[in-house]
Amino acid sequence: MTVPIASRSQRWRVLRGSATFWVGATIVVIWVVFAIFGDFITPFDPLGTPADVLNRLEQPSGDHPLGTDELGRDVLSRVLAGARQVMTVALAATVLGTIFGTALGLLVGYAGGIVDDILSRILDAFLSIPLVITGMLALTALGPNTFGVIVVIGLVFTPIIAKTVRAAVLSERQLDYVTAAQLRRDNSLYVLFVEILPNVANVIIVEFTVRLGYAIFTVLALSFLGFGVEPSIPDWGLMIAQHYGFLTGGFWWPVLFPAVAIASLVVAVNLVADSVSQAFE
Amino acid sequence: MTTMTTTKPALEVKDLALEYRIGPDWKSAVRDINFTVERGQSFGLVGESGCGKSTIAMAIMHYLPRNGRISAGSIRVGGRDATELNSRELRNLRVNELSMVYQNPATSLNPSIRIGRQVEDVFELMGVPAAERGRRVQEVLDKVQIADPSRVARRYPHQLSGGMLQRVVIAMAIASRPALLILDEPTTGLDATVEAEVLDLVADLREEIGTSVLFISHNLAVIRKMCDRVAVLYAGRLMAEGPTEEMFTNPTHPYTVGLLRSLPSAETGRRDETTLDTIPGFLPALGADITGCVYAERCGNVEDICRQVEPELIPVPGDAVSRCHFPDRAQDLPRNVPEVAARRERSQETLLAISNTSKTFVQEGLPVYALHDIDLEIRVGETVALVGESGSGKSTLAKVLLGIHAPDDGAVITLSGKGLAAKVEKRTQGEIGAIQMVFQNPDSALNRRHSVRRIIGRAVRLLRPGGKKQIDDRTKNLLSEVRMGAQHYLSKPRQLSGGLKQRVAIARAFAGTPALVICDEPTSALDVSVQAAIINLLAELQAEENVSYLFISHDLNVVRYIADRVAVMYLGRLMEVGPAVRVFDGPHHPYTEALLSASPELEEDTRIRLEGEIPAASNPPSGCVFQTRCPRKIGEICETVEPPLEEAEPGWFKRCHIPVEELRALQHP
Repeated sequence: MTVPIASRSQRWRVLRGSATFWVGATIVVIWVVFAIFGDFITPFDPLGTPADVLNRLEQPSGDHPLGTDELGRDVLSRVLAGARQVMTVALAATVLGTIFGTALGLLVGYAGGIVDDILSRILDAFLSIPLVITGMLALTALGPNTFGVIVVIGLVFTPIIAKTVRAAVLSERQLDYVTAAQLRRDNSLYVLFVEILPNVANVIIVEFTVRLGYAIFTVLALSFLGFGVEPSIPDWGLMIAQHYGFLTGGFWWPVLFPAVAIASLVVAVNLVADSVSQAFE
Repeated sequence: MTTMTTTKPALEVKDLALEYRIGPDWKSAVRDINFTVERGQSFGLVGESGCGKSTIAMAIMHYLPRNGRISAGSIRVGGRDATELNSRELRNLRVNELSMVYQNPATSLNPSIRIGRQVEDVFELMGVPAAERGRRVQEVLDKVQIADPSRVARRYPHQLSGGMLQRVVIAMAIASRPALLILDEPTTGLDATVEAEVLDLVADLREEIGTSVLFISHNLAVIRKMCDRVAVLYAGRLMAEGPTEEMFTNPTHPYTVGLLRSLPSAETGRRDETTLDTIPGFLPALGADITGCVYAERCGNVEDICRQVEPELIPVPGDAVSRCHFPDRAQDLPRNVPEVAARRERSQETLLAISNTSKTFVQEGLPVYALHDIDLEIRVGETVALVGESGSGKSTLAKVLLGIHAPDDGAVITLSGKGLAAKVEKRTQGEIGAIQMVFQNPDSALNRRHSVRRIIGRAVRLLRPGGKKQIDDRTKNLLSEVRMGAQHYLSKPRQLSGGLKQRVAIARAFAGTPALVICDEPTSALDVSVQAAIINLLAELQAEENVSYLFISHDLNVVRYIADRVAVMYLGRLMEVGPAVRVFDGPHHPYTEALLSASPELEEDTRIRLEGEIPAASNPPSGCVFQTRCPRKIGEICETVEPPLEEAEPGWFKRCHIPVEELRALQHP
């Protein structure tokens, strides 16, 4: 007897029953709320006011639970407001990369033969360049701007996602329903998007959640290195970059709290990704 | 083996119940299973898919998946309760006393480790000193009749054929001379000729090392040949158990009777004379809550009591038991389908003619001769069966006809007298609709994300275009033609049983009013009771639509039942073509003779063994391609001159140097 394969409702049931999923999802949702409503719930203006200069680098206290930074801005307010930048950029970049990667993967996997050989080698070549270095090069050329970061990370992810989707398409293509379509001389677009795409959707969803975790990290790494974010916007990477020099002076709070924020978000997204891939594969 | 008392049975399964967790609930997979395998005995577990036979094997091996558990009962191997062993004892048990051979030998072996090393591992686990292991590997490979053990030991799994791999797996399983050997569908993926050899091997080994065997199979003929006793499972329940011959010749359970009737055999009339009987209805869902007999819904002998009280296993004459309230009425089971076969008209008009057709693939720069000089015609309304071992070119021929592969230059394929373009892209819409295909495995042939309506509707739209309403009507018509109700119109494949899925695939093949439907092993992925229904359906559709079939199959009993003519292929060539009755009755081409003798219904001593493997199609033997394995080879002429496919009798063609009279003398002494 074979154990029945999971249907859609069973997949959700597996997901719902997973503690990992709930922990991850809760943290992600909290950050999403901060990202959307951050401006309304921060105790102070995250961008700071001229008066702040008087309370530079204050220790965590009743007034400023997470202390203040070198310009006297409230660290808590900046950490909460910073969620928006990283999450929108990472999400947009992942969506972009998934769309491009899926299209390319479908095409390469379905075309097969020499097209597959050539394009796959090109994708391999791109994959061999370290991600952050590619990003830095491109952003140096484009200049620092949010849109640039989205496009660059999206493009860097494209070959990775394309390879995964290609592999899934290759195994689908072996199945007789594709031959049956060929036998009625169906057109390639129908076969690709209506016959094959729904069958590789699981792979794409899993890949998307996994990539999202990487995207968050990449966005922050780039902003830490000073690429991509306009300096006025509260950003976790930038906050660490601007303050790690003060660590030696004992001013740990402007660095530690954004770092904790990063860790919690990345870990949470990965927890979700893990349970999604367990439920879907 | 030291601690065991040899009087204890090899395996004793008592009141066993197993469950699977699906979502939050535990569902009963099998329950109340009782059977005993005595020392040296061969015991068969037979049943259709979903009956729980592999689950039981997994439980005995202690290999239940994580969502499975033993909820009641005991499994005693050599007198010890296997369910209560700790992990070290369990490991010892598996190393020394219990072995299992799985269905697919290719996945039982590690692809990146040499055969010799993998066999050696077994001896290492047994604690054989390193110095001795090499010799023991040779010995055990020799024992499974591998001709050149040291050469095979150096190979990787992918370099060996399926039959050879299964020998290796069996060698590993018997290395420790286990008290109990479990064989789970050990020959299901193998060719008939190879299956016959593997079964002979298992029988010989049993005699030699005296091991007990638990043989699991859906194939009744194989079970009948291999086992002393047999238990029939249905929906996780043991329905009947007894000595094999008794169970087959004097069945006392309606399910056993139904199964036996579904199988075409040499004694069954041909398709124009009788239909195959079938079992109505479907297997209940896993863990379904049923009061009364689990088989009541499908049983032709059902009475009120069957729906209220579940029968016990009651003793019946001949040392057997039957879980039926009316065991003595089992053989009077009324037929589920009327015996009258659909009448059809046959004509001598040629539908499809293939001549001078070869197909050469190029693989890594070398030519592979997949088809060579095929000449064949298919008449209107006729069924031509294509038989031969895997690798003989049957599927390649199908793909050439369908226009998926273009044949080599010089090939002529005509449909109703008109030349047919080589590739499907160049054919007209009418020609595309005229030649369609039913695939072997409906799970692969149907898109699992699409509804029945979309699957069939799309084919209708492309092959018989029309307005939305017309397409919808035609789709519904097709569905009713394959005897499916409108309630399945929006179902997805996974909501359908295997038989229903294959019906959908058949309906799709008929979307464009085909003249020729190529059926590539259309029933070999299905259970026997479903197979019978599908074969009946194909026969009825043929009578109604006057369609021709090219029926590819390895099951010679099915071929004998359904085919009008038979074409036998070997290494890309037609070896024998003729009316089915003529091909089965003989005198046969020596290759056909060997194929027919591989049937598990025949005794080992009448078997014609084919030595060696099918030669590579990239390097076919000189002269007659069959000469390297031919048991009737007459001499040098076979090695030097390739015989033509000649019409030795009206309508009967053979590719052999031996005159037909001589063949008759050899084969019917």
